[in-house]
Amino acid sequence: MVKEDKATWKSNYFLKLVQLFEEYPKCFIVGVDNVGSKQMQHIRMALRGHGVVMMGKNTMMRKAIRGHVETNSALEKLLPHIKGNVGFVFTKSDLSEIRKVISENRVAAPARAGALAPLDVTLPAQNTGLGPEKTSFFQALAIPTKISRGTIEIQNDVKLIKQGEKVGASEATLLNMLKISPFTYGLVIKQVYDSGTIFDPAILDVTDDDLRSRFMEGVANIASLSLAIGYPTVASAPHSLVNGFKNLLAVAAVTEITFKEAMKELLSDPSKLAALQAAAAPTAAVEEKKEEAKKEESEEESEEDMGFGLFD
Amino acid sequence: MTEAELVSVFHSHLKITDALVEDLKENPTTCSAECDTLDFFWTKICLAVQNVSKEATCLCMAFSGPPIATVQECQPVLHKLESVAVMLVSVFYSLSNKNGLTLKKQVHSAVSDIIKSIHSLAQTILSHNFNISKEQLQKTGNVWECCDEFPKQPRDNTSAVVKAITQCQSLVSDALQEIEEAEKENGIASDSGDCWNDPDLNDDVPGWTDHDRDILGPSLGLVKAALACVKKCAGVATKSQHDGDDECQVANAQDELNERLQGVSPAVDELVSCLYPPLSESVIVQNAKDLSTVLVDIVEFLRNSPLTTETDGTWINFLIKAIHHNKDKLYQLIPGD
Repeated sequence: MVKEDKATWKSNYFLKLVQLFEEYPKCFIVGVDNVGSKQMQHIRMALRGHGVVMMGKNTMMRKAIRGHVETNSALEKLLPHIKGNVGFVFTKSDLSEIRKVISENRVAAPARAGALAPLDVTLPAQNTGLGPEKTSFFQALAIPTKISRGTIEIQNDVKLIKQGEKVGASEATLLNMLKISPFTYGLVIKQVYDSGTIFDPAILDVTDDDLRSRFMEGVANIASLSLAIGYPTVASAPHSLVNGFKNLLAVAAVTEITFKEAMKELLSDPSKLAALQAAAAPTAAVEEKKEEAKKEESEEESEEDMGFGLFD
Repeated sequence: MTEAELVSVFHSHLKITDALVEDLKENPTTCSAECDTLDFFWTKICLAVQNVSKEATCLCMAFSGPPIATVQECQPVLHKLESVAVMLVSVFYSLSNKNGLTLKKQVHSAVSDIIKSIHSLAQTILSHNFNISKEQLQKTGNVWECCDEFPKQPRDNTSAVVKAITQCQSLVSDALQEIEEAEKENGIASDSGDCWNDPDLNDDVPGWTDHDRDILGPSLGLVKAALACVKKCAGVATKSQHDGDDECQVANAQDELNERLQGVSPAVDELVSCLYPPLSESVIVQNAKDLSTVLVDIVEFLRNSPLTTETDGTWINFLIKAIHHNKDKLYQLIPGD
C-alpha cells in the first residue's frame, strides 16, 4: 500500500471521517490513554471485518463533524465528548460483540513513573530471587525484607501503589526489576453512538433482571399509593388480602372465635410457633446459631484475654 | 391475524410519536406561553418524565417474553405511553421564553431525546417481530438514561448559560492543550498512544520549520486569548446579582452572550487544525482573522451589556489589546496576506 504524504493525508482526513459516519450507523468513542502504536495495530487487526478504528487530532475530528452537521444534525451531540485522548471505533456489527473484542485486546504494561495508577498494587510476600546488592531498592520504599539463601525475601504483603495516585520512580523501578506488570491498558469505551443517539456504555449491559426490578419499583409505588388512599388495584390487592388476614388472626388470637387457617394451637403456644418457624427456615437458623456461637466464643476469648491482660 | 393487528397498532403508535418528534424539530423559541413559576414548571415536567420512563418500562415488559401480548393487552399500554409523551411535550411548551432562551433550548433538547428514545424503542420491538431482543433492552435502557438525566438539567437560565459556557471552555482548553503538546513534539506524533496514529500516514516527514514555529507563537496567543475570554464570560454569567437590572433584560443578555460564544470553539478548532505541518499561511491568516472577529465581537458586546459594570473595563481592554497584538504579529510574519 502506498502511504500518503501528510498534506494529502490531511486533506483526505475530513472526507474519510465523514464517509465513515455515513457508512456506519454505530460507533464507540474510545479513550486511548497509554495505548502504544503496536497495540493499536493489533486492535485494528482484531477488528478487521467488524469495525474500523479512526484516530485523529480532536480539533480535526470536531471540524469534520461540524462540517457534516447540516447533513446529519445528530452528530452534534458527539462534539462535547471529543476531548482528551480519544478516537472512534465504527461498526455495523453488534455493539456488545465489538466491545468484547476491544476488551480482549488489553495488554499488561510495566508501571511507568508519573502515570496514574488505575488500580491498587500489592506486592505479595515472596522470594524475589534478587541478590543482596539490591536491598537498597526495598529500603527506599521501607519494605521489610530478609536475606534467605542468598536472595532477598519480602516478608509481608506490601501495598505499593494506591489507585488514582501517581506511580513514583522508586515503585516503578522496583516493579520492573521484579518483572511485574501490574496494569493493563487498552481502548476504554467512553460513549456509544447509535443511529443518532448517544449513551453510556453501561446501557449495553441492561438485562431482563434490570427490567423486572424497574417494573417492580413501579408496581410497589402503585401498591403503596393504593393502600394509602384506600383505592384497591391489582397491585395492592395481595397486600390488602394479607393485611386482612393478619387482622383476622389478631382477632382469633384474643377471642374464642376460630377458623381453620387461624391455627389457634400455634398461636396459643409460642414454643410450637417458634419450632415451626425454625423448621421453615433451617438454614437461616443454622447460620444464626453459628453466628451466635461465634459471638459467644469471641466473648469468652475476650474475657480470657481481659483476665490475662489484667494480671500479667 | 393477531400479529397483523399488533403491527397496525404499533404503526399508529409510531405515527403519533413521529409527529411529536417532527413537532419538536421546529425552533422551540418561536412559540411562548405565559407559564406558572419555574418551580411549578419543573415539578410538572419532572413528573411527566417519570411517567414516560414508567410507561416505557411497561411496554418493554409487555414484550419481554412469550407469549406475545395480544392487541387487547398491548393497546392500553401504547395509549398510556402516547398520552404521557403528549403530556410531556405540552408541559415543555408551557415554558415561557421570558425564562431565557438558553434554558428553553436545553430543556427542548432533553425532551426531544426522550421522545426520540421511546419512538426508537417501539420501532425496535416492531422490527424484531415482538420477540425480546438485546437491542430492545438497550433501547429501554436508553429511555431510562434520558429520563434519569432529565432532573439534573440546569433549573434556570443562568445555570443553563453557565453549563453551555463550561462546555465551550472545555473544548477550547482541549484544543489549546492539543497544540501545546504537539509543539513539544515539533508537530510529529509520539509513539506512545498518540491519536495521530494512522496506518495510511507516512510519518517520515519533517515537523515545523523555524518560520512555522514563529507563526505558531501568535496563533497560540490568540487561542489563549480565546480561552481567557470564555473564562471571563463564565465569571460574568455566574454573577447572580445584577442589582437594578430587569431580570428579563439580564436573561436576554445572557442568551445573546451564549449565542455569540457558540462561535468560539469552531473558530479555535479551525485555527488549530490548520497549524499542523505543512502549513498553509493564507488559511492561517484567514482563520486567525475569523477567530479575532468572534472574540472582539464578544468582548465589545460584554462592554455594553448589563452583565458587566465599569470595573470590568480593565480586563475588557486588556483582552482587546491581547487579541489585536497577536493578530498584528501574525500579519507581520505573513506579510503577503
